Amino acid sequence: MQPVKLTIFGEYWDSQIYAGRLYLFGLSGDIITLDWDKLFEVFGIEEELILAASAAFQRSDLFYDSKRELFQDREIKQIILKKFDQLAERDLTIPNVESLNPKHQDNKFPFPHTDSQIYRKTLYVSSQSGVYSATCDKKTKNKHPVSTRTQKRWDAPVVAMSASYGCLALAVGDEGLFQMSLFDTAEIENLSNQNCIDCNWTYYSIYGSSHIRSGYLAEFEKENHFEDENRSYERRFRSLISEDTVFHGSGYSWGVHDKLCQARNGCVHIVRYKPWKKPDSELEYMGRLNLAQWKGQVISGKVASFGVIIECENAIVVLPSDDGDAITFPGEPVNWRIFPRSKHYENQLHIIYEDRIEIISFNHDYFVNQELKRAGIKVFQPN
Amino acid sequence: MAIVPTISVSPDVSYSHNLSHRDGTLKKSQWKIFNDEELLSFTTALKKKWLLSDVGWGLHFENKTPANLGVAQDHETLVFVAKFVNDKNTWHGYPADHQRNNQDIPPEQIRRKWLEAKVLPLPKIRKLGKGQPCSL
Repeated sequence: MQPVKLTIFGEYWDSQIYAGRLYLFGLSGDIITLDWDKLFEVFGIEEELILAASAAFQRSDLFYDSKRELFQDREIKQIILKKFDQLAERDLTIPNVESLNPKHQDNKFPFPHTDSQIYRKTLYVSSQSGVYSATCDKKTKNKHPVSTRTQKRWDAPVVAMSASYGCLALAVGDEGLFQMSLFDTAEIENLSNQNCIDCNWTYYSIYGSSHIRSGYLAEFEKENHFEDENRSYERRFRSLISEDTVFHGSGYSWGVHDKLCQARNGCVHIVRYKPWKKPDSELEYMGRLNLAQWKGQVISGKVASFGVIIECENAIVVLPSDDGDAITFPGEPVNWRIFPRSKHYENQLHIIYEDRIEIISFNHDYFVNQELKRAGIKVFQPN
Repeated sequence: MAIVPTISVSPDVSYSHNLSHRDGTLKKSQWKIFNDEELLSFTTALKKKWLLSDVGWGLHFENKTPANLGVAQDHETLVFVAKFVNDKNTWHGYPADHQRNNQDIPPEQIRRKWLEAKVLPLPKIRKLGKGQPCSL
């Protein structure tokens, strides 16, 4: 099944999508906010494709939550597949973002920033001068979608960040990997002094990536507490597990949720991480997938529900979760992003090029066995 | 020990070449362009206001296009950004190793100027800022 692509022309640095809004950081130092749900009205999508369009761009959870028995019916599965294929053939292009009546506001954050994240209705932006935040709560009656009152949270040169469990994991280059508590104490903890240029959450632990030194898993344990019918938890740092321990070799590695990946000698090796199975069987090798040489050196990697995404020098490659052929997006992007924690947009890959943003929706993962899949994080499906 | 002359660039700006970034000193990045090209990189940075109070960043141009100017601390990785440092009113510079050293990453004020002037493609500006591998 081919992905569905929506293109918005313009010059952008970064993008975020959250709670029905698309935020675009413009190159001229502004933030452009679009009503994401209203955006689709301009395409006049025919009624028989509205369900597919909704699942593709507005409600990625729509089919994950569906009764699985429905998808086991071959006829129903073929009908849904056909809808996505028909949608993929539609030209979903917006030549001029102004035609959508977006809201413009000055970007009060340092620019060009190194990373951004929206977590619990707050936009976090990292830069060499530190980490900043501003609320972006749709329900407040602010004049601006992103509050103009920015707060400086930290002054270290952060190159990447990721939020979960009430914390921001922060990659600070040659100063290492840190964790900042966002609520309660707002304390900052140094997890490792080893070089770290990217970080992602693997359940309640954090994987730090590096090109200069080995990557590593900053492993935490999580203890649940039950007091007076209230449930809370505590995360405690245990140890650093080196890339060599996980993959028995060195390369460039990263990890998200239950999948740890390493690019080495033209292949991507995948290990499943199951922290609840200690001590010997928490890491399960799942095999390797090939990367074509012409794509160049691996720059960065992520894992989404729909597959493993690898940025190479000359292209972005998606190794899909259905073990199908790799999907290649040639060219060197300005920026790119996925939303693995999102409830409604976890099937999206945003790629920004010099003159446009492409919002690519992958919908093959609805039909993949979540327990057995290699390339892609496991999606929890309620019974 | 060789005496390195100080070159007067303007009445209150001087420049001196640091030999440890040319003689193969281990763990020091190395220039691969000539001395006069290094100086031109500095004077261009001065003219274009890519120098902050005591630090600055520069590029080397060939046919008006940024080109590699040296190798990183590993003496292998080609780099194309120079860092300049003001030491008691005399500037010197070295090829910046943005992957190994946070202080070699051009700050957002400089990267914004490069972005607005379109001297470097946007993907390179992003990779420099994030300490990612970046080649021309």
